[in-house]
Amino acid sequence: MRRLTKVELRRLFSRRLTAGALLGAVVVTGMILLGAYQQAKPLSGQQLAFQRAQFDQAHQNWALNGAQQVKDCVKQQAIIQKSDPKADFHCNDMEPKWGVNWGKPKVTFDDLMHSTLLNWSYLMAFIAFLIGAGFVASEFSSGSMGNWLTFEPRRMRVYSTKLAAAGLGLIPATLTLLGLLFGGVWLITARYGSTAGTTGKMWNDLGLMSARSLVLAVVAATVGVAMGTLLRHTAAVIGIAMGYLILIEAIFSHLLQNQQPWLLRLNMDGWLQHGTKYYIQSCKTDSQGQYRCDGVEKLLGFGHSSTYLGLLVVLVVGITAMVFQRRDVN
Amino acid sequence: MPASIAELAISTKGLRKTYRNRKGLHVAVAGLDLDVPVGGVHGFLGPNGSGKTTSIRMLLGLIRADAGTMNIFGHEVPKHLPDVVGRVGAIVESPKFFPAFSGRKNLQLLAEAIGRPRGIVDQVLEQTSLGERGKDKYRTYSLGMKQRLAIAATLLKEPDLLIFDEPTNGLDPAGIREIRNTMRALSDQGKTVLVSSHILSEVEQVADTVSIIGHGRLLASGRVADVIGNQVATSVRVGVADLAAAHRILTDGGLLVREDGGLLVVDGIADGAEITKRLAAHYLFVNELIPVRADLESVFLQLTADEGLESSGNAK
Ligand SMILES: Nc1ncnc2c1ncn2[C@@H]1O[C@H](COP(=O)(O)OP(=O)(O)OP(=O)(O)O)[C@@H](O)[C@H]1O
Ligand SMILES: [Mg+2]
Repeated sequence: MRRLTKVELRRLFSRRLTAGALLGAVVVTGMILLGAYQQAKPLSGQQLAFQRAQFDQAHQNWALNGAQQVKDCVKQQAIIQKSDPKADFHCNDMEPKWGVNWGKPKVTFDDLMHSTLLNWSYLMAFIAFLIGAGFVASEFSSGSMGNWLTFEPRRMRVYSTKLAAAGLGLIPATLTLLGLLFGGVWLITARYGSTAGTTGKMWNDLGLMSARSLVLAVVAATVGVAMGTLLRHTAAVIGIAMGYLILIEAIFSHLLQNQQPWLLRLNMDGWLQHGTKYYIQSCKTDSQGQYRCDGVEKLLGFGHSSTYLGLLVVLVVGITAMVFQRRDVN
Repeated sequence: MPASIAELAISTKGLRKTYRNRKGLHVAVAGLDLDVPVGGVHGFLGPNGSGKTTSIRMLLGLIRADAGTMNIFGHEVPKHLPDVVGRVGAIVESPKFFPAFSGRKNLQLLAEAIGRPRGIVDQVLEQTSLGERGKDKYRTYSLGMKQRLAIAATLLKEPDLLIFDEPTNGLDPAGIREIRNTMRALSDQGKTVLVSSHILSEVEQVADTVSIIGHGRLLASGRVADVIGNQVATSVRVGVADLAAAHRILTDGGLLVREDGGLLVVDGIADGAEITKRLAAHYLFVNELIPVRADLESVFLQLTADEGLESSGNAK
C-alpha cells in the first residue's frame, strides 16, 4: 500500500495538469491578495479631500440640527416600540464620525485575514477537486487503468492509494499557499492597516480556520478522485460540478430558500467559519393589514455543516468504491 | 489430451460473458473451455468479434465472467489472481500508457508499483530495442514502438506467462517478424506465450499449439499439425492434358475428384504417386502435381463456416 501510494504520488506530481493547476492556485492566491490590498490601501489625496469636504459639511449640519434630529429619532422610536419593544434606532449614536461614516477605517489583520481566507478556501478546494478528478479520469480515458490493474488487480488497493495520494499530495501545496496568503495579508495590514490588535484568541481562530481550510482542500481532492473514477472523464466531472453550481446553488437556492442548509456551498461556509448565518425571506400580513417581507437571519451550526459534509464525502467515496469494485475495465 | 490443471498455464471451463447493448443481450463468450499447456507458444485464434479479447480480459480480472471457472497455473482466478498476477505479463488489445509521460517514465511507475529494482527498466528497454527513445514522450511513438513498449512492460515482471492480444495489429512485415521472433525467444526461455490473432498465417509460423474459437466457443484445439490434419484431408492438384478422361479414370478408381481452374483436385489423398500410377496406366501423363497442404486458414474457414460465421482472417 505504501509503495503504491508513493508511486501514485510520483505520478500526481509528474502530471502537467497538476503543475498547471497548482500554478493556477498561486495565481489565484496572488489575485486574492491583490483584492485584499485594494481593500486595505488608504484613500488617494483626491478621494481623501472629497471625503473630508463631505464630512465637514455633515458635521456643520450636525452642529446646527443635531439636537433636533436626536429628538425626532427618539420620538419615532417610541412609536415603533409600542408594537415592537425591541426596536432600536440608535438615536444617541447619530453624530457623524470621521473614520467611521467618512474617510476610511483602518483595516485590521484579523478582519482582512478572515475574509481573505474564506474566499481563498473555496477556490483552493475547487482547484484541489480538479486535480483529484483529472488525476484518475486521465487513467480511464487513456486506458492505462486497465494496464495498471494487470499489475495490481486488487481494486480497493488501487482506489484507496489513489485517494490517499491525491489527499496527501495536496497537503504541502495547500500549506505553502496558506503561508503565502498569511504572509501577504500580514504585510498588507502591517503597511496600511493595523496588526497590533491581533489577540491570541484571534490567532487561534485563524489557525483553526486554516486547518479547516486545509482539511477542505484535502477532502475536495479525494472527492475529485472519487468523481473522476465514477465518471471517467475530466470534462464530465467539470460539467457536473458546473451544472450543480449553476442549477442548484444559483437558481434552486433562490426558489427554495428554506432548503439552504442542504446546499453544499453554505455548508462549506459553515465548516470554514465554524457555523454561519443565512437569510430567508419571511412574508406575512401584519396587524395593520399590510403585507410585509423581512429578511430573517438563521444560524447554521458547525455540527450540521460538518456532519453534512462528512456524510456527503462518505457517500461519494463509498458509492464509487462499490461501482469500481464491480466495473468492467477496458 | 486431458491434463491436470496444475500442468496447464491457463484453463477455463464454461466461461461465459454476456454484454448488454442497445439491442439487448449479446453473448460474447459462450461457455469457452480453453486449455493452454505450460511452455511453448499457444495461438488463440478466431475471427473479429469471436470473444478473444473478452476472454483475456476475464482471465486478467478486468471484467467479470457471468459463469465458468478460470485457472492460471492452477490458481483459481479472479479469486486468487493477486497470487499469480506477478507471473503474468499481458497486453490487452492496443498498448495503453500515459501519452504525456515518456516510455521510460511509464515503465518506471509500473516497475516501482511492483517493487522491481530500478535497473530493470533500462534492461527491458534494451531488450525491446527501445533504448534511447525511451526518453521520448509516449505520444510521439510509432505504432511499432508502442507495441514494443507494451512488451517491455510485460517483461518488468519477469513473467512465466505472457498474454499478447493481437500484438502485430497494424505493424509492417518487419515489425511482425520482430514480434514473432520475440515470442519465439520468450518461449525458448521456457515461458508460456498465449498469442491471440485473427491473422492465421502469422500464428501458424510461431505457434506450437492452437485453440480456435468462433462465437465465443472452442472449435478446435491441439498441436498445429494435428488440428490441420484432423480437420481437412490433404489434397493434390493434378495437371493433365485430357482433364475429362483423367477425371473419369480417377473417379472410377474411387477417388474424390473435382475440377478447379484447369486442374483436377483430388481430395483425401496425400500421396501423389498413386495418381501418377493410375493415370500412366491409361497413357495419360501428369504434367503438374502439387500436394496441397491444408493450412490453418482453410481449417479455420471450414470450422467457422460450420459455425455460420464469416471469417475476416487475412488471406495469405
Ligand atoms: N464493452 C463491450 N460492450 C458490449 N459489447 C462488447 C464489449 N466488448 C466486446 N463486445 C462484443 O463482444 C464480442 C466479442 O468481442 P471481443 O473484443 O472479445 O472479440 P475479439 O475476438 O477480440 O475480436 P477482434 O479480433 O476484433 O479483436 C463482440 O461482438 C463485441 O462487439
Ligand atoms: Mg480483440
